[in-house]
Amino acid sequence: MARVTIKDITEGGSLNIEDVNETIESWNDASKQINGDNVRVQGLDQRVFGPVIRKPPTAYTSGSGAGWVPHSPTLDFLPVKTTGADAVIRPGWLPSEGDTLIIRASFQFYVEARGGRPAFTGHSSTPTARFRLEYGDTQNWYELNTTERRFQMSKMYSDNTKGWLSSATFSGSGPSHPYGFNWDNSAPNGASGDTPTEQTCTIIHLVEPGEVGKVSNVPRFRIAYLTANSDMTISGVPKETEKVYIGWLNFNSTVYRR
Amino acid sequence: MGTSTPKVTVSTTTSASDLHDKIDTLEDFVNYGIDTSYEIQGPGNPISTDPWVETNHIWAPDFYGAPAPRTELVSSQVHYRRTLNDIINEGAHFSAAHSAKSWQYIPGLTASVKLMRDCIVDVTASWFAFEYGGITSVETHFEKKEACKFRFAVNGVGYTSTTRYLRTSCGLNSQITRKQFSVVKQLELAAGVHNIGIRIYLAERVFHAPPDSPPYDGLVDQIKFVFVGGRNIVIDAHEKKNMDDAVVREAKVGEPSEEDAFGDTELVDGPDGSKPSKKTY
Repeated sequence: MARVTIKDITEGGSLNIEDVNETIESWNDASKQINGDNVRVQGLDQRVFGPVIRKPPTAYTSGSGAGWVPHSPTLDFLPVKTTGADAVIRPGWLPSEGDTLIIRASFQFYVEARGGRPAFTGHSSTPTARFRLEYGDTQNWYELNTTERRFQMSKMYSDNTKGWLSSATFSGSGPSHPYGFNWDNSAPNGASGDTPTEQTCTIIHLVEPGEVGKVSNVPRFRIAYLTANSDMTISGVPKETEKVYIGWLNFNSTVYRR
Repeated sequence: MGTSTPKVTVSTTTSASDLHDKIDTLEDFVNYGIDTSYEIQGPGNPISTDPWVETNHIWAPDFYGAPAPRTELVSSQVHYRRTLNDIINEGAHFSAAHSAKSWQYIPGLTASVKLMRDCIVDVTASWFAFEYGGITSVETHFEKKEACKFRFAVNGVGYTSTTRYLRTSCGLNSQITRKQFSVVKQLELAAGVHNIGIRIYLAERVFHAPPDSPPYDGLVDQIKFVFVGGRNIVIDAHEKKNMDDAVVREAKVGEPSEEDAFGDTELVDGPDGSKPSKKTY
Protein backbone atom coordinates (compact mmCIF):
# COMPACT_ATOMS: atom_id res chain seq x y z
CA MET A 1 0.00 0.00 0.00
CA ALA A 2 1.09 3.61 -0.39
CA ARG A 3 0.15 4.61 3.10
CA VAL A 4 2.73 4.14 5.91
CA THR A 5 1.30 2.98 9.22
CA ILE A 6 3.07 3.45 12.52
CA LYS A 7 2.32 0.97 15.23
CA ASP A 8 0.95 2.57 18.32
CA ILE A 9 3.72 2.49 20.92
CA THR A 10 2.63 4.01 24.22
CA GLU A 11 4.69 5.41 27.03
CA GLY A 12 4.85 3.11 30.07
CA GLY A 13 4.01 0.01 28.08
CA SER A 14 6.38 -2.74 27.15
CA LEU A 15 8.07 -2.30 23.78
CA ASN A 16 7.20 -5.26 21.65
CA ILE A 17 9.76 -5.98 19.00
CA GLU A 18 7.05 -6.95 16.50
CA ASP A 19 5.51 -3.49 16.85
CA VAL A 20 8.81 -1.84 16.00
CA ASN A 21 9.42 -4.10 13.07
CA GLU A 22 5.88 -3.64 11.72
CA THR A 23 6.54 0.07 11.58
CA ILE A 24 9.87 -0.43 9.85
CA GLU A 25 8.34 -2.93 7.49
CA SER A 26 5.61 -0.49 6.60
CA TRP A 27 8.25 2.00 5.48
CA ASN A 28 10.23 -0.61 3.65
CA ASP A 29 7.16 -1.84 1.79
CA ALA A 30 5.91 1.59 0.77
CA SER A 31 6.10 0.62 -2.85
CA LYS A 32 2.71 1.36 -4.32
CA GLN A 33 1.82 4.41 -6.31
CA ILE A 34 0.19 7.30 -4.50
CA ASN A 35 -3.56 6.91 -4.36
CA GLY A 36 -6.57 8.18 -2.48
CA ASP A 37 -5.22 6.86 0.81
CA ASN A 38 -2.56 9.56 0.69
CA VAL A 39 -4.97 12.50 0.28
CA ARG A 40 -6.85 13.90 3.20
CA VAL A 41 -10.55 14.66 3.01
CA GLN A 42 -11.15 17.82 0.89
CA GLY A 43 -7.38 18.00 0.38
CA LEU A 44 -7.73 18.72 -3.35
CA ASP A 45 -8.59 22.37 -3.80
CA GLN A 46 -8.12 25.15 -6.31
CA ARG A 47 -4.36 24.99 -6.02
CA VAL A 48 -4.15 21.53 -7.48
CA PHE A 49 -6.99 21.61 -9.98
CA GLY A 50 -6.49 22.96 -13.43
CA PRO A 51 -9.35 24.20 -15.56
CA VAL A 52 -12.07 21.81 -16.53
CA ILE A 53 -12.40 23.07 -20.10
CA ARG A 54 -10.19 23.22 -23.14
CA LYS A 55 -9.48 26.55 -24.76
CA PRO A 56 -12.45 27.39 -26.96
CA PRO A 57 -12.02 28.06 -30.66
CA THR A 58 -12.96 31.40 -32.07
CA ALA A 59 -16.68 31.90 -31.73
CA TYR A 60 -18.61 32.81 -34.86
CA THR A 61 -20.56 36.03 -34.31
CA SER A 62 -22.27 38.69 -36.38
CA GLY A 63 -23.89 41.88 -35.21
CA SER A 64 -25.04 45.19 -36.58
CA GLY A 65 -22.05 45.41 -38.90
CA ALA A 66 -23.40 42.53 -40.93
CA GLY A 67 -27.08 43.33 -40.33
CA TRP A 68 -29.74 41.09 -41.82
CA VAL A 69 -28.11 38.86 -44.39
CA PRO A 70 -30.43 37.40 -47.05
CA HIS A 71 -30.24 33.68 -47.73
CA SER A 72 -31.79 32.43 -50.94
CA PRO A 73 -34.42 29.70 -51.08
CA THR A 74 -33.11 26.16 -51.16
CA LEU A 75 -34.51 22.67 -50.87
CA ASP A 76 -31.17 21.37 -49.61
CA PHE A 77 -29.54 22.53 -46.45
CA LEU A 78 -26.87 25.13 -47.15
CA PRO A 79 -24.49 26.92 -44.79
CA VAL A 80 -25.56 30.02 -42.94
CA LYS A 81 -23.24 32.87 -43.81
CA THR A 82 -23.69 36.15 -42.01
CA THR A 83 -20.11 37.35 -42.35
CA GLY A 84 -17.54 36.74 -45.04
CA ALA A 85 -17.26 33.11 -43.99
CA ASP A 86 -19.64 30.25 -43.36
CA ALA A 87 -20.85 29.83 -39.79
CA VAL A 88 -18.25 27.20 -38.90
CA ILE A 89 -16.41 26.42 -35.69
CA ARG A 90 -13.91 23.70 -34.88
CA PRO A 91 -13.69 22.92 -31.16
CA GLY A 92 -10.60 21.26 -29.72
CA TRP A 93 -12.56 18.18 -28.92
CA LEU A 94 -10.69 14.97 -28.04
CA PRO A 95 -13.34 12.35 -27.32
CA SER A 96 -10.64 9.70 -26.95
CA GLU A 97 -9.61 11.51 -23.78
CA GLY A 98 -13.13 11.58 -22.44
CA ASP A 99 -13.94 15.16 -23.48
CA THR A 100 -17.55 16.30 -23.55
CA LEU A 101 -18.58 18.83 -26.19
CA ILE A 102 -21.50 21.26 -26.09
CA ILE A 103 -22.40 23.35 -29.16
CA ARG A 104 -24.57 26.45 -28.81
CA ALA A 105 -26.21 28.64 -31.44
CA SER A 106 -28.67 31.50 -31.14
CA PHE A 107 -29.75 34.01 -33.76
CA GLN A 108 -32.73 35.89 -35.18
CA PHE A 109 -34.29 35.62 -38.59
CA TYR A 110 -37.37 36.51 -40.59
CA VAL A 111 -38.84 35.25 -43.83
CA GLU A 112 -39.79 37.29 -46.83
CA ALA A 113 -42.42 35.51 -48.85
CA ARG A 114 -45.92 35.45 -50.24
CA GLY A 115 -46.58 31.90 -49.25
CA GLY A 116 -50.13 30.86 -48.50
CA ARG A 117 -51.66 33.39 -50.79
CA PRO A 118 -53.46 31.46 -53.53
CA ALA A 119 -54.39 34.58 -55.43
CA PHE A 120 -50.73 35.14 -56.20
CA THR A 121 -49.03 31.79 -56.09
CA GLY A 122 -51.67 29.33 -57.17
CA HIS A 123 -51.06 27.08 -54.18
CA SER A 124 -51.88 27.15 -50.53
CA SER A 125 -48.56 26.11 -49.15
CA THR A 126 -47.05 28.30 -46.48
CA PRO A 127 -43.39 29.24 -46.20
CA THR A 128 -41.07 27.38 -43.91
CA ALA A 129 -37.58 28.02 -42.60
CA ARG A 130 -35.50 25.26 -41.07
CA PHE A 131 -32.16 25.24 -39.34
CA ARG A 132 -29.88 22.52 -38.06
CA LEU A 133 -26.35 21.75 -36.94
CA GLU A 134 -24.09 19.80 -39.25
CA TYR A 135 -20.66 18.29 -38.82
CA GLY A 136 -18.08 17.52 -41.43
CA ASP A 137 -14.68 18.20 -42.89
CA THR A 138 -13.92 20.76 -45.54
CA GLN A 139 -15.69 18.74 -48.23
CA ASN A 140 -18.66 16.87 -46.81
CA TRP A 141 -21.28 17.79 -44.26
CA TYR A 142 -23.69 15.60 -42.34
CA GLU A 143 -26.74 16.29 -40.20
CA LEU A 144 -26.50 16.12 -36.45
CA ASN A 145 -29.66 14.32 -35.51
CA THR A 146 -32.19 16.05 -33.26
CA THR A 147 -30.79 19.51 -33.95
CA GLU A 148 -33.22 20.58 -36.68
CA ARG A 149 -35.51 23.47 -35.79
CA ARG A 150 -38.52 24.16 -38.02
CA PHE A 151 -40.51 27.36 -38.32
CA GLN A 152 -43.57 27.84 -40.43
CA MET A 153 -45.80 30.82 -40.86
CA SER A 154 -49.53 30.35 -40.79
CA LYS A 155 -51.96 31.88 -43.24
CA MET A 156 -52.63 34.44 -40.59
CA TYR A 157 -49.23 35.85 -41.35
CA SER A 158 -49.29 35.56 -45.08
CA ASP A 159 -52.86 35.60 -46.35
CA ASN A 160 -53.88 39.22 -46.55
CA THR A 161 -57.33 38.49 -47.90
CA LYS A 162 -58.46 35.66 -45.64
CA GLY A 163 -56.32 36.17 -42.58
CA TRP A 164 -58.36 36.00 -39.44
CA LEU A 165 -57.41 39.54 -38.57
CA SER A 166 -58.45 40.99 -41.86
CA SER A 167 -62.23 40.82 -41.70
CA ALA A 168 -62.36 43.05 -38.67
CA THR A 169 -59.90 45.59 -39.84
CA PHE A 170 -60.60 46.45 -43.41
CA SER A 171 -63.32 46.15 -45.98
CA GLY A 172 -63.33 45.64 -49.67
CA SER A 173 -61.91 42.88 -51.78
CA GLY A 174 -58.40 44.03 -52.40
CA PRO A 175 -55.38 43.15 -50.35
CA SER A 176 -54.66 45.58 -47.62
CA HIS A 177 -51.80 44.91 -45.25
CA PRO A 178 -49.58 41.90 -44.92
CA TYR A 179 -49.39 40.69 -41.41
CA GLY A 180 -46.06 39.49 -40.21
CA PHE A 181 -43.26 37.60 -41.89
CA ASN A 182 -42.41 40.37 -44.26
CA TRP A 183 -43.23 39.34 -47.80
CA ASP A 184 -42.31 42.20 -50.08
CA ASN A 185 -42.37 45.92 -50.35
CA SER A 186 -44.34 46.40 -53.55
CA ALA A 187 -47.47 44.40 -53.11
CA PRO A 188 -50.65 45.35 -54.95
CA ASN A 189 -52.91 48.05 -53.61
CA GLY A 190 -50.18 49.68 -51.61
CA ALA A 191 -49.49 47.04 -49.05
CA SER A 192 -46.31 48.12 -47.37
CA GLY A 193 -44.98 44.85 -46.04
CA ASP A 194 -42.70 46.30 -43.43
CA THR A 195 -43.37 43.68 -40.80
CA PRO A 196 -40.31 41.51 -40.32
CA THR A 197 -41.56 39.86 -37.08
CA GLU A 198 -38.20 38.44 -36.21
CA GLN A 199 -38.06 35.00 -34.68
CA THR A 200 -35.32 33.59 -32.48
CA CYS A 201 -33.79 30.19 -33.19
CA THR A 202 -31.86 28.33 -30.50
CA ILE A 203 -29.89 25.12 -30.85
CA ILE A 204 -27.93 23.69 -27.93
CA HIS A 205 -26.54 20.22 -28.40
CA LEU A 206 -24.29 17.85 -26.46
CA VAL A 207 -22.34 15.97 -29.10
CA GLU A 208 -21.75 12.26 -28.63
CA PRO A 209 -18.69 10.75 -30.35
CA GLY A 210 -20.93 8.22 -32.07
CA GLU A 211 -22.83 10.99 -33.84
CA VAL A 212 -19.87 12.17 -35.87
CA GLY A 213 -18.55 8.87 -37.12
CA LYS A 214 -18.47 9.88 -40.77
CA VAL A 215 -15.50 12.16 -40.22
CA SER A 216 -12.16 10.69 -39.20
CA ASN A 217 -10.47 13.85 -37.97
CA VAL A 218 -11.64 16.39 -35.42
CA PRO A 219 -14.89 17.54 -37.03
CA ARG A 220 -16.00 21.00 -37.91
CA PHE A 221 -19.50 22.14 -37.07
CA ARG A 222 -21.73 24.55 -38.95
CA ILE A 223 -25.24 26.01 -38.95
CA ALA A 224 -27.24 25.14 -42.05
CA TYR A 225 -30.59 26.41 -43.29
CA LEU A 226 -33.38 25.46 -45.67
CA THR A 227 -36.21 27.71 -46.76
CA ALA A 228 -38.99 26.99 -49.22
CA ASN A 229 -42.70 26.43 -49.33
CA SER A 230 -43.78 23.85 -46.80
CA ASP A 231 -44.70 21.49 -49.65
CA MET A 232 -41.04 21.63 -50.64
CA THR A 233 -41.50 23.75 -53.72
CA ILE A 234 -39.90 26.98 -54.76
CA SER A 235 -41.84 29.34 -56.95
CA GLY A 236 -40.17 30.78 -59.97
CA VAL A 237 -42.24 33.94 -59.76
CA PRO A 238 -40.27 36.88 -58.41
CA LYS A 239 -41.03 37.68 -54.82
CA GLU A 240 -43.12 34.57 -54.43
CA THR A 241 -40.03 32.65 -53.51
CA GLU A 242 -39.19 32.58 -49.87
CA LYS A 243 -36.02 34.21 -48.68
CA VAL A 244 -34.79 34.08 -45.12
CA TYR A 245 -32.91 36.96 -43.52
CA ILE A 246 -30.52 35.90 -40.76
CA GLY A 247 -28.57 38.04 -38.36
CA TRP A 248 -27.41 38.74 -34.83
CA LEU A 249 -25.82 35.37 -34.52
CA ASN A 250 -23.72 33.67 -31.86
CA PHE A 251 -22.20 30.24 -32.42
CA ASN A 252 -19.82 28.85 -29.82
CA SER A 253 -18.76 25.70 -28.04
CA THR A 254 -17.31 24.42 -24.80
CA VAL A 255 -15.20 21.29 -24.37
CA TYR A 256 -15.32 19.90 -20.85
CA ARG A 257 -12.40 17.67 -19.90
CA ARG A 258 -12.93 14.42 -18.08
CA MET B 1 10.00 -0.10 -3.00
CA GLY B 2 10.28 2.13 0.06
CA THR B 3 13.21 2.35 2.47
CA SER B 4 15.77 -0.28 3.34
CA THR B 5 15.79 0.26 7.07
CA PRO B 6 17.15 -2.80 8.93
CA LYS B 7 14.71 -4.43 11.30
CA VAL B 8 15.30 -4.92 15.01
CA THR B 9 16.40 -8.45 15.74
CA VAL B 10 15.52 -10.61 18.74
CA SER B 11 18.11 -11.10 21.51
CA THR B 12 20.15 -8.22 20.22
CA THR B 13 20.75 -5.15 22.30
CA THR B 14 19.25 -2.08 20.66
CA SER B 15 21.20 1.04 21.43
CA ALA B 16 20.04 4.61 21.28
CA SER B 17 22.32 5.24 18.31
CA ASP B 18 20.77 2.30 16.51
CA LEU B 19 17.30 3.79 16.94
CA HIS B 20 18.60 7.19 15.88
CA ASP B 21 20.08 5.67 12.74
CA LYS B 22 16.76 4.11 11.86
CA ILE B 23 14.91 7.34 12.51
CA ASP B 24 17.46 9.24 10.42
CA THR B 25 16.95 6.77 7.59
CA LEU B 26 13.22 7.37 7.64
CA GLU B 27 13.69 11.12 7.94
CA ASP B 28 16.00 11.18 4.94
CA PHE B 29 13.53 9.12 2.98
CA VAL B 30 10.61 11.40 3.70
CA ASN B 31 12.43 14.69 3.33
CA TYR B 32 14.58 14.15 0.26
CA GLY B 33 15.16 10.49 -0.27
CA ILE B 34 12.30 9.77 -2.61
CA ASP B 35 13.60 9.73 -6.15
CA THR B 36 13.13 7.84 -9.34
CA SER B 37 14.61 4.72 -7.83
CA TYR B 38 11.50 4.32 -5.76
CA GLU B 39 8.35 2.95 -7.23
CA ILE B 40 6.13 5.54 -5.61
CA GLN B 41 7.46 8.24 -7.89
CA GLY B 42 9.49 8.60 -11.03
CA PRO B 43 9.20 8.62 -14.80
CA GLY B 44 8.73 4.90 -14.91
CA ASN B 45 6.09 4.98 -12.25
CA PRO B 46 4.15 8.22 -12.40
CA ILE B 47 1.26 8.89 -10.15
CA SER B 48 -1.48 6.53 -11.10
CA THR B 49 -3.86 7.68 -13.77
CA ASP B 50 -6.47 5.29 -12.55
CA PRO B 51 -9.43 7.24 -11.20
CA TRP B 52 -8.60 7.16 -7.52
CA VAL B 53 -9.85 10.63 -6.54
CA GLU B 54 -13.14 10.30 -4.73
CA THR B 55 -15.70 12.98 -4.02
CA ASN B 56 -14.57 13.30 -0.44
CA HIS B 57 -11.07 14.28 -1.56
CA ILE B 58 -12.24 17.40 -3.37
CA TRP B 59 -12.89 20.70 -1.68
CA ALA B 60 -16.61 20.73 -1.10
CA PRO B 61 -18.71 22.98 -3.35
CA ASP B 62 -20.56 25.86 -1.75
CA PHE B 63 -24.20 26.40 -2.60
CA TYR B 64 -25.78 29.79 -2.02
CA GLY B 65 -29.44 30.76 -2.27
CA ALA B 66 -31.14 34.14 -2.44
CA PRO B 67 -30.44 36.84 -3.25
CA ALA B 68 -27.58 35.67 -5.47
CA PRO B 69 -28.05 31.95 -6.13
CA ARG B 70 -24.85 30.31 -7.26
CA THR B 71 -22.61 27.32 -6.85
CA GLU B 72 -18.92 27.88 -6.21
CA LEU B 73 -16.90 24.89 -7.25
CA VAL B 74 -13.25 24.02 -7.02
CA SER B 75 -12.35 25.60 -10.36
CA SER B 76 -15.52 27.22 -11.64
CA GLN B 77 -18.65 29.09 -10.62
CA VAL B 78 -22.22 28.75 -11.81
CA HIS B 79 -24.60 31.63 -11.26
CA TYR B 80 -28.25 31.29 -12.17
CA ARG B 81 -31.49 33.20 -12.02
CA ARG B 82 -34.94 31.87 -12.79
CA THR B 83 -38.30 33.58 -12.69
CA LEU B 84 -41.67 31.90 -12.90
CA ASN B 85 -43.91 32.47 -15.84
CA ASP B 86 -46.24 34.64 -13.80
CA ILE B 87 -46.77 37.95 -15.55
CA ILE B 88 -49.01 39.37 -12.84
CA ASN B 89 -46.69 38.79 -9.91
CA GLU B 90 -43.26 38.28 -11.37
CA GLY B 91 -43.26 39.87 -14.80
CA ALA B 92 -40.74 42.60 -15.46
CA HIS B 93 -42.65 45.63 -16.68
CA PHE B 94 -41.21 48.50 -18.70
CA SER B 95 -43.06 51.63 -19.74
CA ALA B 96 -42.23 53.68 -22.79
CA ALA B 97 -43.43 56.74 -20.91
CA HIS B 98 -40.70 56.37 -18.31
CA SER B 99 -37.84 54.42 -19.75
CA ALA B 100 -37.76 54.82 -23.51
CA LYS B 101 -34.44 55.15 -25.28
CA SER B 102 -32.24 53.95 -22.45
CA TRP B 103 -30.63 50.61 -21.77
CA GLN B 104 -31.87 48.99 -18.59
CA TYR B 105 -31.01 45.66 -17.04
CA ILE B 106 -33.93 43.29 -16.63
CA PRO B 107 -34.56 41.88 -13.14
CA GLY B 108 -34.20 38.13 -13.23
CA LEU B 109 -31.91 38.24 -16.25
CA THR B 110 -29.00 39.92 -14.50
CA ALA B 111 -26.37 38.87 -11.99
CA SER B 112 -23.38 40.47 -10.30
CA VAL B 113 -20.55 37.98 -10.37
CA LYS B 114 -17.28 38.03 -8.47
CA LEU B 115 -14.57 36.06 -10.24
CA MET B 116 -11.53 35.09 -8.20
CA ARG B 117 -9.43 34.45 -11.30
CA ASP B 118 -9.60 35.11 -15.04
CA CYS B 119 -12.37 33.02 -16.54
CA ILE B 120 -13.93 31.81 -19.74
CA VAL B 121 -17.62 32.56 -19.26
CA ASP B 122 -20.50 30.83 -21.03
CA VAL B 123 -23.82 32.63 -20.77
CA THR B 124 -27.16 31.14 -21.75
CA ALA B 125 -30.35 33.14 -21.35
CA SER B 126 -33.94 32.54 -22.38
CA TRP B 127 -37.12 34.56 -21.91
CA PHE B 128 -40.38 35.59 -23.52
CA ALA B 129 -41.80 39.06 -23.91
CA PHE B 130 -44.55 41.07 -25.55
CA GLU B 131 -45.67 44.64 -26.04
CA TYR B 132 -49.07 45.66 -24.75
CA GLY B 133 -51.25 48.73 -24.44
CA GLY B 134 -50.18 50.75 -27.43
CA ILE B 135 -52.38 51.89 -30.23
CA THR B 136 -55.00 49.32 -31.15
CA SER B 137 -54.94 49.66 -34.91
CA VAL B 138 -54.17 46.35 -36.51
CA GLU B 139 -53.59 47.90 -39.89
CA THR B 140 -50.99 50.34 -38.71
CA HIS B 141 -49.43 48.54 -35.83
CA PHE B 142 -49.71 44.80 -35.68
CA GLU B 143 -46.05 43.78 -35.54
CA LYS B 144 -45.19 46.72 -37.76
CA LYS B 145 -43.28 48.84 -35.29
CA GLU B 146 -40.23 48.01 -33.27
CA ALA B 147 -41.34 48.03 -29.64
CA CYS B 148 -37.97 47.33 -28.08
CA LYS B 149 -34.74 45.47 -28.46
CA PHE B 150 -32.83 43.32 -26.02
CA ARG B 151 -29.10 42.87 -25.80
CA PHE B 152 -26.62 40.99 -23.65
CA ALA B 153 -24.22 43.26 -21.77
CA VAL B 154 -21.34 43.14 -19.32
CA ASN B 155 -20.62 46.13 -17.10
CA GLY B 156 -22.84 48.32 -19.24
CA VAL B 157 -21.26 47.33 -22.55
CA GLY B 158 -23.55 45.53 -24.98
CA TYR B 159 -22.69 42.98 -27.65
CA THR B 160 -24.49 43.60 -30.90
CA SER B 161 -24.53 39.97 -31.95
CA THR B 162 -26.95 39.32 -29.10
CA THR B 163 -29.52 41.90 -30.22
CA ARG B 164 -33.09 40.62 -30.25
CA TYR B 165 -36.07 42.56 -31.59
CA LEU B 166 -39.68 42.69 -30.39
CA ARG B 167 -42.54 44.18 -32.39
CA THR B 168 -45.74 45.97 -31.38
CA SER B 169 -48.85 44.02 -30.52
CA CYS B 170 -51.65 46.46 -31.30
CA GLY B 171 -53.38 45.95 -27.98
CA LEU B 172 -55.90 43.19 -28.21
CA ASN B 173 -53.58 40.93 -30.10
CA SER B 174 -50.75 40.78 -27.60
CA GLN B 175 -51.24 37.05 -27.25
CA ILE B 176 -50.02 36.41 -30.76
CA THR B 177 -47.09 38.75 -30.65
CA ARG B 178 -45.48 37.06 -27.66
CA LYS B 179 -42.04 35.98 -28.68
CA GLN B 180 -39.48 33.57 -27.37
CA PHE B 181 -35.94 34.87 -27.12
CA SER B 182 -32.57 33.37 -26.37
CA VAL B 183 -28.96 34.44 -26.19
CA VAL B 184 -25.79 32.40 -26.02
CA LYS B 185 -22.53 34.20 -25.51
CA GLN B 186 -19.00 33.12 -24.70
CA LEU B 187 -16.40 35.62 -23.54
CA GLU B 188 -13.34 36.02 -21.39
CA LEU B 189 -13.55 38.07 -18.21
CA ALA B 190 -10.78 39.13 -15.87
CA ALA B 191 -10.86 38.49 -12.15
CA GLY B 192 -13.11 40.96 -10.37
CA VAL B 193 -16.75 41.94 -10.11
CA HIS B 194 -18.87 42.01 -13.25
CA ASN B 195 -22.47 42.93 -13.89
CA ILE B 196 -23.73 40.45 -16.45
CA GLY B 197 -27.14 40.18 -18.01
CA ILE B 198 -29.78 41.07 -20.58
CA ARG B 199 -30.83 44.68 -21.06
CA ILE B 200 -33.87 46.21 -22.73
CA TYR B 201 -34.08 49.34 -24.88
CA LEU B 202 -37.57 50.62 -25.53
CA ALA B 203 -38.13 52.43 -28.78
CA GLU B 204 -38.77 56.13 -28.77
CA ARG B 205 -42.16 57.13 -27.46
CA VAL B 206 -44.27 58.24 -30.41
CA PHE B 207 -47.85 59.42 -30.40
CA HIS B 208 -50.25 58.47 -33.10
CA ALA B 209 -53.68 59.58 -34.17
CA PRO B 210 -56.04 56.74 -33.34
CA PRO B 211 -57.76 55.47 -36.46
CA ASP B 212 -60.34 53.44 -34.60
CA SER B 213 -63.97 54.37 -34.40
CA PRO B 214 -65.34 56.09 -32.40
CA PRO B 215 -62.58 58.66 -32.45
CA TYR B 216 -60.52 59.26 -29.37
CA ASP B 217 -59.59 62.59 -28.01
CA GLY B 218 -56.04 63.47 -28.84
CA LEU B 219 -53.18 61.15 -29.66
CA VAL B 220 -52.27 57.83 -28.13
CA ASP B 221 -49.01 55.93 -27.63
CA GLN B 222 -47.83 53.73 -30.43
CA ILE B 223 -45.82 51.70 -27.95
CA LYS B 224 -46.82 51.56 -24.33
CA PHE B 225 -45.60 48.68 -22.18
CA VAL B 226 -43.27 45.73 -22.58
CA PHE B 227 -43.67 42.74 -20.30
CA VAL B 228 -40.94 40.18 -19.82
CA GLY B 229 -42.36 36.92 -18.52
CA GLY B 230 -40.76 33.59 -17.64
CA ARG B 231 -37.00 33.94 -17.85
CA ASN B 232 -33.75 32.19 -17.04
CA ILE B 233 -30.08 32.98 -17.19
CA VAL B 234 -27.14 30.70 -16.43
CA ILE B 235 -23.62 32.11 -16.14
CA ASP B 236 -21.00 29.39 -16.19
CA ALA B 237 -17.52 30.71 -15.36
CA HIS B 238 -14.53 28.40 -15.80
CA GLU B 239 -11.17 29.44 -14.46
CA LYS B 240 -8.73 30.10 -17.25
CA LYS B 241 -5.62 29.12 -15.28
CA ASN B 242 -3.48 26.61 -17.16
CA MET B 243 -6.25 26.04 -19.66
CA ASP B 244 -5.50 23.17 -21.94
CA ASP B 245 -4.77 24.49 -25.40
CA ALA B 246 -4.93 21.18 -27.19
CA VAL B 247 -7.06 22.79 -29.82
CA VAL B 248 -7.22 22.48 -33.54
CA ARG B 249 -7.53 26.09 -34.55
CA GLU B 250 -9.85 27.23 -37.28
CA ALA B 251 -8.21 30.15 -38.98
CA LYS B 252 -10.20 33.15 -40.08
CA VAL B 253 -13.55 31.86 -38.98
CA GLY B 254 -15.68 34.68 -37.70
CA GLU B 255 -12.99 37.14 -38.62
CA PRO B 256 -10.92 36.66 -35.47
CA SER B 257 -9.28 39.68 -33.98
CA GLU B 258 -5.54 39.88 -33.55
CA GLU B 259 -5.92 41.48 -30.18
CA ASP B 260 -8.34 38.98 -28.75
CA ALA B 261 -7.62 35.28 -28.63
CA PHE B 262 -11.31 34.56 -28.82
CA GLY B 263 -11.90 36.56 -31.93
CA ASP B 264 -14.83 38.58 -30.72
CA THR B 265 -14.73 41.42 -33.17
CA GLU B 266 -18.17 42.70 -32.44
CA LEU B 267 -18.79 46.36 -32.16
CA VAL B 268 -20.34 47.12 -28.85
CA ASP B 269 -22.56 49.88 -27.71
CA GLY B 270 -21.69 52.35 -25.04
CA PRO B 271 -23.87 52.64 -21.96
CA ASP B 272 -26.27 54.92 -23.77
CA GLY B 273 -26.70 52.46 -26.61
CA SER B 274 -25.69 55.03 -29.15
CA LYS B 275 -22.34 55.25 -30.88
CA PRO B 276 -20.60 51.90 -31.25
CA SER B 277 -17.10 51.54 -29.94
CA LYS B 278 -14.54 48.77 -29.70
CA LYS B 279 -14.78 46.42 -26.78
CA THR B 280 -12.55 47.39 -23.94
CA TYR B 281 -11.66 44.01 -22.47
